[in-house]
Amino acid sequence: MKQYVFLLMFLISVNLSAQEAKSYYNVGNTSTQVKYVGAGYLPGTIVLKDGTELKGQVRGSSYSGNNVRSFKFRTKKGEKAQVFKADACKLVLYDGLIIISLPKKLKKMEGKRSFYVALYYGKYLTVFQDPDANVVERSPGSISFNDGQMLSYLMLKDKELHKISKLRFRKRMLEACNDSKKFVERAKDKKWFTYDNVYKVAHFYNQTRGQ
Amino acid sequence: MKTIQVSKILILFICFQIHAQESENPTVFKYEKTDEKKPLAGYKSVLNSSVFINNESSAASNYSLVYNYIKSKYDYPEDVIISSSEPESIVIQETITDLLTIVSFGVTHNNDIMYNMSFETSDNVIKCSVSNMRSLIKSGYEMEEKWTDMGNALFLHKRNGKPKKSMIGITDIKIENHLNKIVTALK
Repeated sequence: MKQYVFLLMFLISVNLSAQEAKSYYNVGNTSTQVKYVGAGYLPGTIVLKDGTELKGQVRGSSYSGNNVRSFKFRTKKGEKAQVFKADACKLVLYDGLIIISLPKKLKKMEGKRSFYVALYYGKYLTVFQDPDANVVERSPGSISFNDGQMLSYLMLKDKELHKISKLRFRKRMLEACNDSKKFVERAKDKKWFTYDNVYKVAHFYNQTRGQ
Repeated sequence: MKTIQVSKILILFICFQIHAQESENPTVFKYEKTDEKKPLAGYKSVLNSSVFINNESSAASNYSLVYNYIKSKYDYPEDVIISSSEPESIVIQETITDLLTIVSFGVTHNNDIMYNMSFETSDNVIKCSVSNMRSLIKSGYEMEEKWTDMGNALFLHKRNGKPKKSMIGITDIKIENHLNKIVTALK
């Protein structure tokens, strides 16, 4: 009997470690343009708090402004959809985007959770959209460049929250990521180390951390 | 007499096994037309998602082979590697400029393609798998860019079964050649 219990525990631990090791990649737009979650059903995945994956059709359900508050999930057309709020989820994969679940009070990192659209989701560093960030908007009769670009992002590194803005991007990013020699070295390349390239910059840090 | 018959059956069985293995373990990427009963937007041609590179190297040497290939292609391999676990696997995400070509009314349209390729490295074999193939489509008044899922498939034949001259022999060959070039480099 004891042997069976040990075997069961071993299998559960292997399964858990496999779940932890699972990575999710952004397969969509990696630009700094603001991204919205649509309300039409598309193939997607909801990853629950415990790591369980629900693969099927996903869409944004309720919104506050442009920010999604819950998702609807169904396996096929005609089936009754289930509604998932941020408290029940780890992340959602929808239309090439990764939408992560984080506490509403980001400074305290506790309490009720909300959904945030991630620009880059990584093991050590995650960059996501700030719901209160300014977005470049075209005003009537004027010419604007980078229309729809987000002017700042939030960044989560080692459970610490950082704000990176277009204005002081290099300084803030270097302060947060100075624990990787390889990253600091590459950051000298001013053409690469730019706000518009934040997706690739964040990815490079994740890949070279500790090097 | 009996032994000859048994040996014939055995040879036939081995041949059948080898043929089955070849079709199950393809060595090149190739689009194959599917037999849909009621094609809505034409007949789909699907790319085999995996190919196998057989060799006599250990898992560790196969991993190094893949890593060195990526290193030879990019100044910073970290830019394209999205996941790695030495010596078992490397996953890369590549964006290739102008890989999707469509010729329409004599005008050539080129779009970028992004895909994930995973290299599973084990003793004597490297398994290369393509997934999440997406093309960059520009649409709308402001030519907004959007990555659209291709599902490893192309519509190369019309609903009546005739080949689409705008794509067949152009786009499929271009994508096959690109992916097979990677396979050849690892042989």
